[in-house]
Amino acid sequence: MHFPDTPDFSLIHAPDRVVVRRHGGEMTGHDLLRAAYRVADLLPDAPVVPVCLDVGHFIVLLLATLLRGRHVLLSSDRTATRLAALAAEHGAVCVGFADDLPDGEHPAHMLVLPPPDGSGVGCPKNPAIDGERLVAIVFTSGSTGQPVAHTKRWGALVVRSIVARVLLDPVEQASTLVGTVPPYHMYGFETLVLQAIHTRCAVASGPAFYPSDWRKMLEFSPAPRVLVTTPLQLRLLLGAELSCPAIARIISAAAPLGETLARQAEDRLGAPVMEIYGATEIGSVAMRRTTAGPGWELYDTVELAQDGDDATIAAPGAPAYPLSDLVEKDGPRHFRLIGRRNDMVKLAAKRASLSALNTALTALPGVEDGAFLPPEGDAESAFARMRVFVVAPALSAEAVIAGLRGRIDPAFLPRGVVFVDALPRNGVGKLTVQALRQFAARLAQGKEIGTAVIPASHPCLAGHFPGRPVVPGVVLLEEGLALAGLCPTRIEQVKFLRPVSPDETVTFFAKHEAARIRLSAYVQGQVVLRAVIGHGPQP
Amino acid sequence: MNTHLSDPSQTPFEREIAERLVDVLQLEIAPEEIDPLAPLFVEGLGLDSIDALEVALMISRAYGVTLSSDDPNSRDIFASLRALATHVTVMRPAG
Repeated sequence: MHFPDTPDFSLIHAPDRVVVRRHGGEMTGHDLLRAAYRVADLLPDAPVVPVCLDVGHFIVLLLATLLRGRHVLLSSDRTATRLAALAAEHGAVCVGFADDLPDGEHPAHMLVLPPPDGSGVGCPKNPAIDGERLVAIVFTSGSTGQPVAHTKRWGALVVRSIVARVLLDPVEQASTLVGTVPPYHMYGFETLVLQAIHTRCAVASGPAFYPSDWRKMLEFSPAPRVLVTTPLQLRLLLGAELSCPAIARIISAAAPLGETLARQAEDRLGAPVMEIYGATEIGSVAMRRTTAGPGWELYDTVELAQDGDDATIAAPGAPAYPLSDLVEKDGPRHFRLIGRRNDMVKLAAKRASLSALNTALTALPGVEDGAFLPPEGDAESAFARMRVFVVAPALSAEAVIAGLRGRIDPAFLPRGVVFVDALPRNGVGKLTVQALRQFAARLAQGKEIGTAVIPASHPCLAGHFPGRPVVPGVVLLEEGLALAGLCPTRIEQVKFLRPVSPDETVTFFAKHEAARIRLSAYVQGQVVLRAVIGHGPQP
Repeated sequence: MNTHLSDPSQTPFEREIAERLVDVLQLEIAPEEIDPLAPLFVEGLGLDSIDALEVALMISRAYGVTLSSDDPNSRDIFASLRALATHVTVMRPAG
């Protein structure tokens, strides 16, 4: 066990060290405390909703709030109206810094402070915080669509930071954590903010939106560097093909990481990819190297109890948490994930209840019936969005989306609205995700328009691939166009996906869209051709 | 560079980017239907920050233009299709 007998409950662990690194500068624990005392003098006696983007500023504001005897409220929904409502509901105040305000609309009644100032010398008082002190309330969306509050207390957070650090930063020298994630959900809060103040790790601070921003932070951070990211951002970083300084370790959470992506990241970035398992309710509790297999290892001090399908996580100072995933224990310290047991959907590090989303959809005027279809798969389709299927004869797609905006988190706004006559509900009116997915697949295929067989005697086959005749793609395409009644002026795209032999029955489907027709052909259920035919005016 | 800042019809280059946007974001709209002057985010096409990242990746791959938060006009790049096309035109490596 690496767990120390007496954890350090000071506001900042070992304040002599560098805690925050930024382009052209760094802040020690003493600098942060000086800045925090100055900010604390300007704060009202109320809980704080931080509005700053910069991790270093966030840390100063958190320390100042704790020095003021108060706690922070964290919401991953960053819209101005949501933040203002959160502050109003909890008698809190939204606080930002003048040099670090988000784009667009700001929450009403926001307190804007001058940029944090850590200048000066000496060692400001670094008080120990009581382990039972409320430090943060983190909000998640609940199954009713209403946010649910999760309270976080200092002692439990300190202990978890210490046991997590051993796995996040296992090399001899202390690491700098370079985050692509914001500090406003539990993953970023624990892995960037709390790691930096509770353990030996430093954190890089700066704009963190684009892959080129992440590279800049890696460049100004000394080795060893630990990249704290998500599957979606990891895919973007690889896609951007930037050359980055050496990374010692990559940490991923917020969504399941595909093994293919994990392997690519390990090959390209030359570092092991570790995945964190956790939930806002309980925080990070287990880790695995994605490429090493499906087994998760529990953090020290964290216990998993399993009773049939029910599993509960317990950790010092935190309320016991019944897992929303189905798990299978594998010895006392390991488990495997089997599947999800509720209807929670995760997208872009946000989560929502499918039934709450469906309730919002069917509550819209003009929608007779409707359902959300979550994207399939995990990291490989990290960009995939929700689609909705609606029975709403009088509405347009824009009207459906406009109706949902403001009622649901923007991450779950559908990218596609499909109008149908009826949903594939079963005898008792229940609609399963599986039934909807099959329904969607049939719709996507379009309407069957006919079949064709190219006989072995067809003149096109003479001289083609002697001994193993294959129907030329152009002949297939011609058959499909004839069945669709099309005389195209514009073939936008055509792909021949597998060879078709003479005498095989080819089934054609056509799907009409605004300015094009999607043509597909199948042999024994396998797609052999996909084409996009323009039928609008030539651009 | 665009000299017709209020012209509501797409230039050929805007059309090219519009096609890439529709493709990469799987938008249910034809490229020619994107108003070059309308906001790309929230009110217009309703894109969000993840889409912005995806568009940034597409722009860097297709045109060799790397978007960064340090760009002096980084807040304006996604103001509209025209703003995006103009930024790419200006920042595009020669040749």
